[in-house]
Amino acid sequence: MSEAALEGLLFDGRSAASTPVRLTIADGAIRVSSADGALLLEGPLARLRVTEAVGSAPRQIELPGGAVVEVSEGGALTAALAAAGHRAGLVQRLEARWPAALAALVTCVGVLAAAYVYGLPAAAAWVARSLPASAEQRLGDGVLEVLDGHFLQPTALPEAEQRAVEARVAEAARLGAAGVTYRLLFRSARFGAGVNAFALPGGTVVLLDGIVHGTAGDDRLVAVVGHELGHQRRRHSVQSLLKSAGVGAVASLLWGDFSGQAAAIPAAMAMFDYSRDAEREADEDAVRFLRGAGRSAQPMVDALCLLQSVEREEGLGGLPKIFSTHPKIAERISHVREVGGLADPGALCPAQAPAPVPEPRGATCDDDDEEEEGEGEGGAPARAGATAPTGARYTRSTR
Amino acid sequence: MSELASVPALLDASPSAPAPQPQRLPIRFTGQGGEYFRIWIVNVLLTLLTLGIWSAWAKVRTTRYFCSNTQLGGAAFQYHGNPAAILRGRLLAAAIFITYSVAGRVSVSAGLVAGVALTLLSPWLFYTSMRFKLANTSWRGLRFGFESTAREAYAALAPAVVVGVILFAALARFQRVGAGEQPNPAPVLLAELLVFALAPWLHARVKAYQHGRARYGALAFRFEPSTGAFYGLYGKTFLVALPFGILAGAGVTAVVVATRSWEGGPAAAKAALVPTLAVVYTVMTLAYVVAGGFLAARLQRLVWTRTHAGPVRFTTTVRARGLVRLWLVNGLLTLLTLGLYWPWAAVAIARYRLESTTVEAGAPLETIAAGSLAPERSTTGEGAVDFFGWDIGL
Repeated sequence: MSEAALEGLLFDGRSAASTPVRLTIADGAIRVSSADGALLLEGPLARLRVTEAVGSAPRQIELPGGAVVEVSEGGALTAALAAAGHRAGLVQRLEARWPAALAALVTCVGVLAAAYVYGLPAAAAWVARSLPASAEQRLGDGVLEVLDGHFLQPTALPEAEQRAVEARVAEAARLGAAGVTYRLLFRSARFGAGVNAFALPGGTVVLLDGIVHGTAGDDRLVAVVGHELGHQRRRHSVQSLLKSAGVGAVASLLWGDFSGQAAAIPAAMAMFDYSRDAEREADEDAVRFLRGAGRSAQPMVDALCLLQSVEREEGLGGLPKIFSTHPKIAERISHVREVGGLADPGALCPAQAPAPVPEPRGATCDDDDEEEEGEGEGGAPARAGATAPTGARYTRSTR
Repeated sequence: MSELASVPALLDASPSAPAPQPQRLPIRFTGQGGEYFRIWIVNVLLTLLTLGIWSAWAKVRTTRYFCSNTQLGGAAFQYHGNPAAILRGRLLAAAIFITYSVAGRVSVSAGLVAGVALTLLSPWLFYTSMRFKLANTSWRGLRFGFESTAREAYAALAPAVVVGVILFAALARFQRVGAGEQPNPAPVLLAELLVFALAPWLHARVKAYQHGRARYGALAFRFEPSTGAFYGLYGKTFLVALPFGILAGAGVTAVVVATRSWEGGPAAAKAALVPTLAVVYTVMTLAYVVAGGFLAARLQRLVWTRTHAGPVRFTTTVRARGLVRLWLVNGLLTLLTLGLYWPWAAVAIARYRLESTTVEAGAPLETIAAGSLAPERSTTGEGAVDFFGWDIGL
């Protein structure tokens, strides 16, 4: 059996006074003796009460009656106990080794990635399914409250135009989506043109002035509403809201004491971040909606073309980018042509896609695809001759 | 080890030699970044795998690592917190937090109610947290303690609670605007002005309560009244932060001029948005590090030079410049390594702040008798306060 000797300080637990002592570990027993060699106490290692090792920090042996022996060479005590057959716990053995620590790091990254890719959407979908309609409605109202406070302002559309849009959508919905409850709201964007529409949890579809102008309130707008009702029916917006809450919770768990502000950013980024599949499903719903209302899929293709042209014009920058997370539009257009039974799924946007922004202001856009597309003006006539070159496929759209 | 019953008697018979002169005892910190990294990463992994449950055990191990590596007069500090108690506290805090954030999303008024409830609860959380933290810390075999009552906590923190409720109400009023309404910023500005004017006084009250009720064995801590000093410190911090405000303004002006966004209409205004935000965030972060580091260092000086316990006093040589440099370098490295440098940063900052402090004992520390402070088992406070990230560190 090995024998080890260590220096320590004995505290009686009643005053701050200390007595230097010597610890001997041998034959399954620990002995504490004073500096002059007198044996103070002896006991079996099996009944030893000692604070867990944290690195090589000092450790304390707890004695009955509130007295303690502090060993400042914590690492040496740990080694002596290990040599005497007193095994440390699993956690302490992991902490003691670099390979184990690096394995823990790799596992952490793997667990986080798996949770984000698989766990989070599954959990969000499950919660979204079991959420009562009233809670969903309140959730949507809460989001609208925040959006109204920061990003949206009242619509500038005349009353008559609003009623006309409502009537057109209602007529299509009666045929194409009977029994679906929805509510249309008109708003205008505080920043940018706002050629955009979005569904909130609870069945509210918000139409921004930009999209009403851009589609001239015709069947393209009906297609957009059909798309948003698809998001709503499949509870995509509730799920993305729940996902953002989940990301925020994990981030603050990891870095919580480091910075609460940084933890809030991923949550904001994840908001309304629909996956490629979610957009595809909503597009298919829009085609179904149009068909049910006795129309072809063409308005949906035209609406996507409109979004594509807007996207190219806006280029980079701007706050509402948070809400513009659709996958490549060109891809979606050909998918809609395919499911809609339209000829030539590979065809590009029709040349007549009109520009959306009503103001004829000469906005000079520093778009990166300027060299392909000579004109950057927002005026409707100027855009008439423009066909979309291949470069435009790589832009994303605002909704 | 029942043979030990005779040990105290034996110790009484061998009195330690009392030091006649006042002692200057430096604080030593022996933690190492690499060692703490291994503890930290194992804690992160176990916290993830147990869906957060391990965080209570992680908290105890982290606190024990920093405590046990802090040495004063040849003896280390020890932390005895019970992880199960901290877990209960964290579960309560999580329940409060979820209620609060869900309430805030459901409606502004529900958020307001939850926020006010949380504010009203905070003195109790603060009190239980201090009690738990101090009673579970020991040095030379004697426990610290926090000698107070919930009633005292509410009396000491009442002004802060009132100001908090006013701020909450004003913010809720501001957010609660209909689609057509323009929000009226006046109440929020007034409430913020109130916070600004009273913050030094409130902070002084909190520190006086926190430090004035602490004990070590039979030794009671005292805190000198220092409202004036807090106003001076806040004034200086404002002056340190001011140039950054001017810098941010100049930066935004430069971006606007460079992009000529006033003549370009909405599209050009949008193009200017990203650089504007970049400038504002960079300057704000710098301001946070410089002014925050200045405040933290000067606060450490202010608080510890006014704290004493009987014949024991504290001095600190911590410098704002030194702390700001540490924060900048370590913050940058932590960012660049996606957080992996964090353990080294935490150790470096703890070392600087601890080792710049010296304890001056006018009487030998060995003669300080232990009081009859009962061991602490109170639960909720520590975990709850830690969860919300309130800085109440000593």
